[in-house]
Amino acid sequence: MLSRLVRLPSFWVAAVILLLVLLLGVFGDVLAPSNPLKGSSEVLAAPSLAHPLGTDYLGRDVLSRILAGSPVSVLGAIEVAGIALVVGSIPGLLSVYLGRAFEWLTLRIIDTLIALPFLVFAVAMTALLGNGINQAMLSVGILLAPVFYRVARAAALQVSSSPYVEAATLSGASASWVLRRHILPKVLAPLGISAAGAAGTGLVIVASLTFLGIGVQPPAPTWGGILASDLGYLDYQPYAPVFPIVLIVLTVLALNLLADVLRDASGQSGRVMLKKRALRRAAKKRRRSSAPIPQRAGELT
Amino acid sequence: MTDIAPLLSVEGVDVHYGRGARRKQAIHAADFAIAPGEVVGLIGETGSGKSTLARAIIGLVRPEAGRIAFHEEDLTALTPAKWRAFRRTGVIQYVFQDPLRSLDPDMTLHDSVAEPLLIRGGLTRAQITEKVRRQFGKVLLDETLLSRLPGQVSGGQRQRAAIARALLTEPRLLILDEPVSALDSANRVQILELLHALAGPDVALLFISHDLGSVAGITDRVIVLYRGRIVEVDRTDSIINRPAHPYTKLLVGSAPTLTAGGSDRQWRDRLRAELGAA
Amino acid sequence: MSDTVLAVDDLTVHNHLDDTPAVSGVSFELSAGEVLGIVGESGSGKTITCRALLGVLPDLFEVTGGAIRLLGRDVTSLTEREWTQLRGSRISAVFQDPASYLNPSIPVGKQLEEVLRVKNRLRRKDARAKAMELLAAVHIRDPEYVYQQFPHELSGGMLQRVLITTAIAPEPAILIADEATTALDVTVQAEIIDLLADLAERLGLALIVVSHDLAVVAQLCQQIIVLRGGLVVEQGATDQVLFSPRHEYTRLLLEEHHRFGLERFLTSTEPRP
Repeated sequence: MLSRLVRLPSFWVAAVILLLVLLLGVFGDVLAPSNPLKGSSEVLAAPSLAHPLGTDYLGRDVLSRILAGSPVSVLGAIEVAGIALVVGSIPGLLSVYLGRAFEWLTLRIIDTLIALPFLVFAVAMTALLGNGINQAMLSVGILLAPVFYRVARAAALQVSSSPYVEAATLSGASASWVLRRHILPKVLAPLGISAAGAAGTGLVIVASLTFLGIGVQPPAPTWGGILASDLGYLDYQPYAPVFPIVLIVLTVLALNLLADVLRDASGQSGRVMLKKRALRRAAKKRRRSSAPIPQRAGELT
Repeated sequence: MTDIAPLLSVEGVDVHYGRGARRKQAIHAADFAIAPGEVVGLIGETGSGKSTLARAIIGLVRPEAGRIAFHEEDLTALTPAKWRAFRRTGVIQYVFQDPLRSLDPDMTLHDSVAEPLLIRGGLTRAQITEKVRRQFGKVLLDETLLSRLPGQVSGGQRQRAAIARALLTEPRLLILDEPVSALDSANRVQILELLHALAGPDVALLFISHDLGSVAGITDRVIVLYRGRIVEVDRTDSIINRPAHPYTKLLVGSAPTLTAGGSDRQWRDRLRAELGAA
Repeated sequence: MSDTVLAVDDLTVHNHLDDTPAVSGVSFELSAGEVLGIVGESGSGKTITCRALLGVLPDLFEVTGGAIRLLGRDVTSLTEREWTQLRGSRISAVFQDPASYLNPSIPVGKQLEEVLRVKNRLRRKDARAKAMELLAAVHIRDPEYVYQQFPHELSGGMLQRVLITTAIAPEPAILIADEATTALDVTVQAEIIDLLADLAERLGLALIVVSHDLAVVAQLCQQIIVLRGGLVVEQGATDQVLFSPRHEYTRLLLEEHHRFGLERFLTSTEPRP
């Protein structure tokens, strides 16, 4: 699968962007040229050598704030995807095996989660658990869990009704054997795809929550929070929101791209697609090199 | 054949499927026995219940009534845990129609074939590999294929690997669900030859097929299933030359043969009318 | 030779995908009411041959040699437009898995009616009457009932009958049945074979029956072509192919039946050694 991945150009685009974002996430604090929390008298300054992206309404260096806000934003997105993965996929897998009562119960809970509007739920959770970044991540993670539940369940259902699982059962395999040997390897690929997608969604949601002031308290910088404060001063700095937005959009784009690439490289259809592409390229090359043969339009593609 | 204690006996078995209002009876009072080493064909059309009956024998479906006994052991009385233990002995094995789907696409042929022994436990990896190797030889598969994935070998080789897996536990009864219908002619002949050579006093074969013509040559006896009922059980040559039930007559008359020609169309039409009226 | 409806001369189809010949040197002549059998395995080129005859070769496949004369007209150089006119009305086909050729959300009768309205240019009312007549002609006992059924409500054999009806509705001269009975039960397969034989006799339809099973073809055909790897390994009258095969592969196909089929019991009733 890895060898197929590296042949797709979009994989490299996604990988490079994500690597940069990850570096920001890990070293953002260290990279910040000045203290992101320290204000100055230069309020709402235009970009200059001292402040490459200008300053905000309290005179804080915007570049430093964006860099310093990266860990919370990036790690938050990863945390969200991780929570959703655990909360969603484990009951999803078990729903196929633990009998009808468990299946019914989890399905109804997941339906309920899908029906809940996420902002309301997040606000309610913070009201219940206190306003902190981890509480916010937890609530967002739970809200994204249905995706993983469905993906894991669908993959497990498909595999568990296949003859090779039946063959294992007929050799006396226990449910855990079937789960370990046959189902888990098949479920990992679709779960990875969903995780990449969920990290992108998580990033947007975390940004929206911090934009609304949920999760992170004001002086601490986050991408969403920076965007929120920038919007208040559009009259003075109409270009300011562009910086955090570009970062958010690029990251989400790369994550979605990664999800796409993973899907193309892992599934049967992706395999066929890549093979076809290679064959067609080879056929075209051959035809160009040999004498031109009049091509007839085939109807079937 | 009645003087030998049967290997498998199926007595008055009823099987239902579906729930509530859509509940239907798939098998009505099925009664038959298989002697040790016998080769039996279970023939019926789509929806006749032949697969359901086979699944009942291996415990994938629970019969509502009747008794299925293997070597005098009542299988219908087994609890799920006892079923698992019984299956680990590997005395009944099952070969599916489509080897592409009955072998895990992400597991090498070696791992797939070795799976029953791995599940049973008690042997070292090296011992298992040795057994798999020997089994590969018996089904005429090259050892170099051991590390291949099912998608990387031909259909005939896949089905041979599936048969090797079934034989690894030295079963007394091998149930084959349309084992050759997904293969092309050359492979069909080879697999049938292999199975023919395999049949002996140690292992009985139960062939499930919709087409009498494809397996008649290697069966001793044939059970004909029609709409969930066993309508005829007899020696293969009697079934073919002197079929008693109208459905069996039609089945024999419909099997494509090299010699029949199109002349008995009217005869088939009459049989269809007779069967439709019944 | 005025009643020759299809003449194929040294047909060669090239596969540009692998740069290999898909079919080479297929030649035959077919008259009205005559039945030709093509036997071969998957990958033998039998389906590619049929597709070439129908002008629906897959992408990157191309007729590179030989001639196909359909009702006296060379069709290898036809445009897409001309093919659309010809296909369905002069030469038609049925395939394996009939359900995938019907729209699952429209009753089968309506779909048959649509063909009659487009190809036969009948008005709605006439089309319905004609549809009933045709359904009865393929021995469907209750045409009114079948007409209103959706594809999923009918059995595979019944669907294949409906498709055959659709295929013969525009009164083509040639019908190709490509593995049309393969997925069906043996008894249903016999019904479809009987129906095809009946149509060839009654309507003077020229039939090309394609199958992997030599016996299926033997039931119906006057001449047989055995294909393997895109090459014709055996060709001749049915009796000649069945009783004095020249190629080893044909003998293998025959042997399968003699050893494992009913033939074994029909010729001798001795018990198994």
